[in-house]
Amino acid sequence: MAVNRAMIQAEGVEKAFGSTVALGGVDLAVDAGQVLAVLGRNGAGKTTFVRILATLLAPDAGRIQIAGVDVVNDAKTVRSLIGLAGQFAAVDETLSGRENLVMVGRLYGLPRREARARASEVLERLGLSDAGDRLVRTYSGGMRRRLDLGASLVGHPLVLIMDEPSTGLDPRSRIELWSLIDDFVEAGTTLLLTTQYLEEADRLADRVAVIERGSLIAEGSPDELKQRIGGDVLEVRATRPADIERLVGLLSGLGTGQPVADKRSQSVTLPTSDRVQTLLAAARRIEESGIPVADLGVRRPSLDDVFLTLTGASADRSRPEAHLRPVPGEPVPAAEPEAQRARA
Amino acid sequence: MGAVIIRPRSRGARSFFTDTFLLTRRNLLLTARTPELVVFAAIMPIMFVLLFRYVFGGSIHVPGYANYVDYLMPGVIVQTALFGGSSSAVGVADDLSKGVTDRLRSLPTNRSSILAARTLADLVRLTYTMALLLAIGLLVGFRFHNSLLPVLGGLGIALLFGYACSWLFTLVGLMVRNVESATLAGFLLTFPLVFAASTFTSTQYMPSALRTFANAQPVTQVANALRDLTHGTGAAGPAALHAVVWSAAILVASAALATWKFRKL
Repeated sequence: MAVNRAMIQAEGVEKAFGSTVALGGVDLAVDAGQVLAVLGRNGAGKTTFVRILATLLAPDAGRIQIAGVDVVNDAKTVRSLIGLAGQFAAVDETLSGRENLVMVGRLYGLPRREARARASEVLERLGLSDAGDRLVRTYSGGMRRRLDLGASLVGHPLVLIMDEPSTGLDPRSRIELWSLIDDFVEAGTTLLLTTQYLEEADRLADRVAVIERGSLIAEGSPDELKQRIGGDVLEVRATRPADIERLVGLLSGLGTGQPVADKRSQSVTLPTSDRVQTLLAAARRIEESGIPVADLGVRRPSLDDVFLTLTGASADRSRPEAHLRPVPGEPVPAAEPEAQRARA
Repeated sequence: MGAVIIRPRSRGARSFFTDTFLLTRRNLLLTARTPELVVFAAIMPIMFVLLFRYVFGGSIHVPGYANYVDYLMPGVIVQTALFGGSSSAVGVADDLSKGVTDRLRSLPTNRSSILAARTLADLVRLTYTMALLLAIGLLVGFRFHNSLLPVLGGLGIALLFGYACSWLFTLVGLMVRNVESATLAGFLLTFPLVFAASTFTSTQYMPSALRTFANAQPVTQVANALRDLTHGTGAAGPAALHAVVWSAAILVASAALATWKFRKL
């Protein structure tokens, strides 16, 4: 085995479901002990990639190896090397936490005594020792997720695969989960996780791979990625929808990229590397123009900003439905007559 | 770092039995710890026995049977075998939608064990329900009119049919993949099979098209075979042979298709 061999090595992975291309040739490499976050929106192909990696789905083309073992040709060996925590807490509600873990340990091939010892060890590590003998149906959502994560650790995996680990968790449980993940990583486990949240990728990952419509559109450390976005984002929210175009014109040339309009939130965003300078300049121009604005500020880039920057401003119109969904409480249609009145 | 330690686990054929045992126990524990499931599984057939024995039974006369209850009990047993199997569809769909199947398939588990355990657990549950039913039957006047061996043979055929149905509904569960559809599919499949059959009364007074269907389909064959063997009529006639052939055919076809479908999940 070559010394520099990556722990996870994917080359040209393709998968289509009927005429829908889920993955269009993905190349990825994760070194031992590294954490890679695969960042993407719903339907970007993250879960398909994870399912192929975890031997649940066969790719149409390409090759993936884990620790040098091919996930298609030698799936059984791969399964003894990985731990998978899927999108759901896949634990049995009518078994106790301990029973769930012992069963998984036995299915990994551990003898009964060893499986029991391992279950206690994992429960301890997850802070579930006291709840270990209670039925899982009495657990909170956060506890279930932790137990599910525990199930993926029972077999001492070399590679841990987590599909959207914090989706559906409340903020406190999410932070608890993150610190648990920190512990595993410190212990040397290689981790590949998928997420929709830039914040999560930023917090946990050494490297981030951005995936969109089945293709890798960027890869790098969180810092490198933010560099490409230009650091921060200036956001102006218009009081009247009619002013959006004027604001775009007003702000162009100020930041590190082109201003982008979002009609749904009546706002214009602009990537910037110098938050103070850009903010002052923008404020001055807006004041001179006399355009009323509801909000003006600089914030850290969100996942949407990453996509907007990486896929170009044209993505604004073709953004998937998830983004165009009207937000309850935001009077999008009602804003039109209001604007008419204001002009009159 | 290059020194990757691959820990091969020497798990050969033994793993199939160990894993099947572990997963069967898991499936049975899930049932045992959901009291409403246990009670419902037992109450349904008992209600049918009481309903047909005491409410309708007085007006149903089947030629060759002095006591209607001797005709009824084999019918209810076969109905129970079919309904018992249909719970597999729900169980399979539930595991699929909750991600449990993904978890199991990502483990170095013997994959054939997952479905084998599902149907084996059904068989254990069915044996329990059948024993309970026979006890109730004896209480309400049902009697075996044949020697032990044919009686056991008849019950064996009913269990074989139930096991085949488990595989059939496992296949259904793998196809529909969600609990609601699985429940509906189970109902739509079992209802005509149970009622357009000799389950509760002889098929001879049914309209001809219905009668043709009823006489041809497996529930009638299995119920008649069980009757032949418990009542001593027909002396293990063609019904027993038809019942075994039907059950074996359903079993082989469903198991093959379900296994194929499961591989391609």
